[in-house]
Amino acid sequence: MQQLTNILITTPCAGALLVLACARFLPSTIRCVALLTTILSSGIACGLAGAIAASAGDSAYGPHASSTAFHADGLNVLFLVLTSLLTLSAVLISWRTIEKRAAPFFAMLLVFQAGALGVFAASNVVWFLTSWEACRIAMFFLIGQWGGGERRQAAAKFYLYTLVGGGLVVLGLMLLVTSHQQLTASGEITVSIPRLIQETPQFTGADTELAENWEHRKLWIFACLAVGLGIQIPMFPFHTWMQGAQVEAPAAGSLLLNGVWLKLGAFGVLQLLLPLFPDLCRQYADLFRLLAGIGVVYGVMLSLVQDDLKRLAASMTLSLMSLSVLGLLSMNAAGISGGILLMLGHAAAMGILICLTEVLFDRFGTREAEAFGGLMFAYPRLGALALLATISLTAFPPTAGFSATILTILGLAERDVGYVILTLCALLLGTWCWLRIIQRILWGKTREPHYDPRNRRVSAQPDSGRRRDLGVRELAALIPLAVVVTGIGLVPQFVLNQAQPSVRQLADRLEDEQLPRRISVSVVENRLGR
Amino acid sequence: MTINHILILTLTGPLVACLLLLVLSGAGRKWAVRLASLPVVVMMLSAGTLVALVAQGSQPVEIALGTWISLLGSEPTDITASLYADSWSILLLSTIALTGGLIVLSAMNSSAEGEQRRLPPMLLMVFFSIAALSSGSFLMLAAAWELLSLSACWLAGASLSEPRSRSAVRRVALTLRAGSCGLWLAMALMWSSYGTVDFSQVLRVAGASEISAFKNAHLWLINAGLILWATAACAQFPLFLWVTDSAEGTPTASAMIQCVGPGAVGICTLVRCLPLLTLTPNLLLLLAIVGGFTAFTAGFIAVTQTRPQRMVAFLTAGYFGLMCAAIAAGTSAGVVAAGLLLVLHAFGNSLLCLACDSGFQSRSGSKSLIAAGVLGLSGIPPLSGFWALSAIVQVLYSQVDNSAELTMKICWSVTCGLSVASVVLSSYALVRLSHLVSLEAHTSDTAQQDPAAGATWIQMALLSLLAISALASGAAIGQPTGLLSQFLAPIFPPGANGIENSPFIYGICAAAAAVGILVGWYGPSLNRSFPAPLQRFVRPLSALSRRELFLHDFYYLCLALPLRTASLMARFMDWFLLDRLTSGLAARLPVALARFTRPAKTGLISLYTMLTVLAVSVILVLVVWSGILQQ
Repeated sequence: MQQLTNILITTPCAGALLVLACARFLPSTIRCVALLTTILSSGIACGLAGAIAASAGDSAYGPHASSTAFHADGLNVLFLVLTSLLTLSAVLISWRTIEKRAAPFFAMLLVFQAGALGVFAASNVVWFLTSWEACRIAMFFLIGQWGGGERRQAAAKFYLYTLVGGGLVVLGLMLLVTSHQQLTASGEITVSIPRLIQETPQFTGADTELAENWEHRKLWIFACLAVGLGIQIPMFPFHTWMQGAQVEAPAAGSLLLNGVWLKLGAFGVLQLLLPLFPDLCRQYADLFRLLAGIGVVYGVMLSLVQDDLKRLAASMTLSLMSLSVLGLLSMNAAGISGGILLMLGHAAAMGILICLTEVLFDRFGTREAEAFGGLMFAYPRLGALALLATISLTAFPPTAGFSATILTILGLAERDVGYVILTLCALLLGTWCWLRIIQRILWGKTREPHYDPRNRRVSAQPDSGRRRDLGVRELAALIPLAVVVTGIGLVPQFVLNQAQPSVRQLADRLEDEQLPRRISVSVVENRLGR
Repeated sequence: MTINHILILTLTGPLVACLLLLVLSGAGRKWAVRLASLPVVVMMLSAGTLVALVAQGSQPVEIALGTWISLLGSEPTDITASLYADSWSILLLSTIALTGGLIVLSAMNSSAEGEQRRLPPMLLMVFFSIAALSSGSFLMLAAAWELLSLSACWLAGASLSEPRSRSAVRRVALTLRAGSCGLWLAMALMWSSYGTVDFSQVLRVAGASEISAFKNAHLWLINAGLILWATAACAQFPLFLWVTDSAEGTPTASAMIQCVGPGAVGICTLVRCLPLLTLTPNLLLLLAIVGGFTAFTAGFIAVTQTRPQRMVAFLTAGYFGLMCAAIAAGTSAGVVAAGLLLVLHAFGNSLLCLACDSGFQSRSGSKSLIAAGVLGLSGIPPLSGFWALSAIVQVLYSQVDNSAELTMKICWSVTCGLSVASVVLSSYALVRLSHLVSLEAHTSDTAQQDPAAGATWIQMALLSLLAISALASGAAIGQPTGLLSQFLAPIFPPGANGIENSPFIYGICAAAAAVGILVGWYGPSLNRSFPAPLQRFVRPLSALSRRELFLHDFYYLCLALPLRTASLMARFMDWFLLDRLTSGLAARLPVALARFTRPAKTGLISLYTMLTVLAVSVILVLVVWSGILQQ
C-alpha cells in the first residue's frame, strides 16, 4: 500500500515531464500523454481505495508508519480519489479549448495534481508544505497564463492571499516543530505529522516550566494555523480572492480550484487543527462557527441575483464550504462525517456545473444565464447533468448533497440549534437561487446566443457545427463526477466506512464533556419497563 | 402472502408502472401504457386487501429495509430505513392508493394531448406519497417528501404552459422546501435530544414524562418544525397559493396534486405525530387557529373565483384547514373526523377536478357526476359531506367545552365559528362551481371540433366509481356505522371515544350547508337586488376575495423584494467594503508589482520570484522573532 501511494504521487510528476518532453519531439501526443497519466493515476487511486476498504480502513491519526513521506489511510484516500478524478475531468474538458501553449498547460495540471495528492498523503511537515507550494505555483500559472481577460490581477490576488495564508501555516508548523523539540525529553526534532498529533496534546497539563511556556505559545500556533487555513478554505471575510480567481481561471483551473484547492484548507483543519489543538478548538469554536455561519448565508445572498454562471458557482462555493466547516466544527461523528461528504459532494456537483459552463461558453461564447433558454429540450444530456448537479447542490435525494446536508445538520443540532436554523434558511434561499437559474436555462422558450468562435463575438449566423449536445469526450469527463454525486447519495455508508476510524478517533478526542447528553432510547425504555 | 408483502406490492406498483412507461415508451406508447396499467390495478387491489386485513384486526406492519448510515463513536448510532404502518396509516394509505390509481387510470385512458407524457410524474407522486405514509423513520419521510415535492414540481411544470408553469413550479418548490426545512429542523432536534429519528422510538421516548421536562425547549422547536411543515404541505395560510397556482393545469394533474400529493401526506403525518404534538398544547391551538382561518379565507376566496379549477383548489385548501383544526384538538374524535374528511376529499375533489374537464362535458351524465360531487361535499344530510363536516364542528365545539382557560375557550370558539362559516362558504362555492362548469360546457365547443378529445367509457366508469364513493363514503364509514373509529382502536388508548352524536351540531351543520346552497343558487339574482349601502359594503370584500387577499403582492413586497435588495447590498459590501477597502492594499500591491515587472520578458516569472523572495523573508523574520521570544 505504501508503494502504491508513492507511485500514485510520482505518476503525475512523471506525466508532467513526459508532456514537456513530448512538446519538443511529438507535439501531437501531448493531450494523450496527459490523459493516459490521469487515467493511470485514477486507476491507482481507486485501487488504493479498494485496498484500504479491504483492510477495514485505517485511522489518519493512528500510529502508522510515521517515518514514511507519504501514506494513505481511510480519510485521505477519499480525497486522493477525488483529486485524480477531477484532474481526469480537467484534462478532458480542456482538450479542445486550450490551443496555445498546450504542453505547459497540461504539465501544470499534472504538477497541480501531484502537489494536491502530496498534501493529502503527506505524513510529514516538509512534504506537506512542499506539496502545498507546488500546488500554489501551478494554480498561479494556470490562472495567470491561461485565464480570462483580467487573469493577471486575479492570479496576483490569488497568490498574495494564499501566500499570506500559506505563510501563516508554514510559520505555525515551524513553531510547532521547534516547540515539540524543546518539550520532548529526548530533544529530538520530528517533522512527522502523526507523531506531532499524538504527542502535542500531551504537553498540556505537564507540570514543568516548559509546559507553561507551551500553553502560551500554542495559542499563537493555533492562531497561525486557524487564520492560514481560514484564508485557504476560504472563510468569510477572507473569501474575496476566490471570486476573481474562479471567474478568470480556465475551466480546468476552476474545476481544480473548486474541487481540490479549497479542499486542501478544509483537509488541513481535519488533519492538523482539530487533532493538534482539541482544547483550543473547543474554546474558540464559537468564533469560527460564527464566521462559518455568516459565510453560509452571505454566500447565498451574493448569488441570489447573480447571472454569470461562474460567479454564481464561486458565491455558492463560499456558502457550501462554510457549511462543511460548520460540520467539521460541530466536533461530533455526524457533523464531521457530514462535512467530509459535503466536501466530496460539492467538488463533484460543482465540478459538473463548471464543466457545463465551459461547454456553454465554448459553444455560445457567454456564461450569462439570461442568454439561454429551453436547453433541456435542445440538449437533453447537458440538461440532465445540469439538473443532477443542481439537485445535489440543493440537497435533494438521492444525491450526495442530501446525505451530506442531513448529516451536517444532525451534527450541528447536537452543538447549537441556531446554526441548524441558519443552515436551513440558507438552504431555502439556495433552492430559490438555483431554481431561478435552472428554470431560465433549461426550460421555457429555446434561446441560444449566436457566437462566432473565430472572431470571439456574437454573430448573426449561428455556427451549427459547434452547437451539439455533449459529445463522448465531454460525457467521459462528466460521468465519473455524476457517479460520485449519485453514489454518495445512495450509499453514503460506502464512503463513510472508509473514514469511520479517523472520524471516530477525532470525535472522541474532541468530545466535549460539558455538552448536555442526549437521552438514550434504551435507558428510557428500561425506565418505562418496556 | 403476508400483509408485509401486500404493503410492498402497494408501494412498488406505481414505481414499476413508471419504469415500464419510461423503458417501453420507445417500443410503442400505447402498449407501454396498457402494460403499465397492470401494476396500477395490482396496487389498487392490494390497497383494498390491506384495508380488509386491517379491519380484521391485524398487527402493525414493520419491514426493515436496512441501515442507511451507521456512525461509530462514544454512542454508536444507526439511521435505518424501514416501513411502518399501523391500522390508521394503512387506511389512509389505501385511500391515497385507490384515489391515485383511479386518477392515473383515467389519465391512461384519456385521449387528451400530452396526457400520456404526464403519467411518469403522476405515478411517482403516488409512489412517493405511499412511501412517505409508510415510512418508519423521519429520515425516510424527509427523503420521500423531497422526492414527492420534486414530482409535484415536474407535474405542475408539465401541465401548465409558459409563463404560468414557471411561477407555479417556483411556488411549489419554494413552499414545499420551506416546509421541509421545518421537517429537517424537527428531525435534527429529535436526533440531538433522543439519538434516534425512528418514528416509533421518538414517539415512545417523547411520551415519557421525565423526557418532556428535560428537553422542553427542544420539544417546542420540534413541534414548531412539524407544524411549519404541515402548514406548507397542507397549503395553510399564508402558504396556500402553491396549490391554487399549480392546480390550474390539466384536470388529472390538478386532481393528483390536490388529492394524492403533499396535502394528504401532511395530514396523515400530523396524525402519526399527534402523541408528540399533544405535548405542546399551545402549538396545537395555533395549528387549530391557522386551520380554521385558512378554511374560512379559502372559502371566502373560492366564492369569487371565475375559473373552476382554481375554485376547487381553494376548496381543497379550506378542507385541509378543517382537517388541521380537527387534528389540533388532539383527541381520537378529532383524528376520526379529519380522516373522514380526508377520505371524502380524496374522492370528491378528484371527481370535481376530473369532471371540470371539457372532454367530459360532451358526454351524457356528466352533469349528474358533477352534481354528485357537489352534493357529496356540500354537507347535505345524509350524504358524505354532512357526516364529515358535522364531525369536525362537533370536535371543535367539544374543545370549547373542555377548555379550562378563558383564552383557550375563546380561541376554540373562534375556530369553531370559522369552521361553521367555512361550511357555508364552501357550499356556496360548490354551487357556484356547478354553475360555472355548466356555463363553460355551453360556451366551449371543444367536443364538437374534436370528437376524439371526449371522455372514453372507461373514464366515465371511473368517474362514476368516484361519484358513488363521494356520495356514500361518509355514511358508510362515518358516524352511522362507526367503522372509521374501529381503525383507531389499536392506536389510541382504551377508553378513547369516537365522535359524539349531537343533534344540535347536526342541525347547525345542515342549516349552514342549506344557507350556503341557497345563497349560491340565488346569489347572483340577490346581489342585483341588494340596497346600495349593502352593495357598497360588499364591493371591497368582493375585491379582496378576488385579489386573493393580496397575497401575491405580499409575497413580492415582503419576501422577494427585500431579499433581492439584501442580495444587491451584499454584493456591494463584498465589492466595496471587503475587497476595495479592507483588502484593497493587499489587492493593489501585486498589481503594482505586475506593472513594475511588465517590461521584463517573462513578467509572471519575475513576479513569482519576487513574491517568493518576499514570502521567505517574512517567514525568516518571523522565525527569528519567535526564537528571540523563546530566549
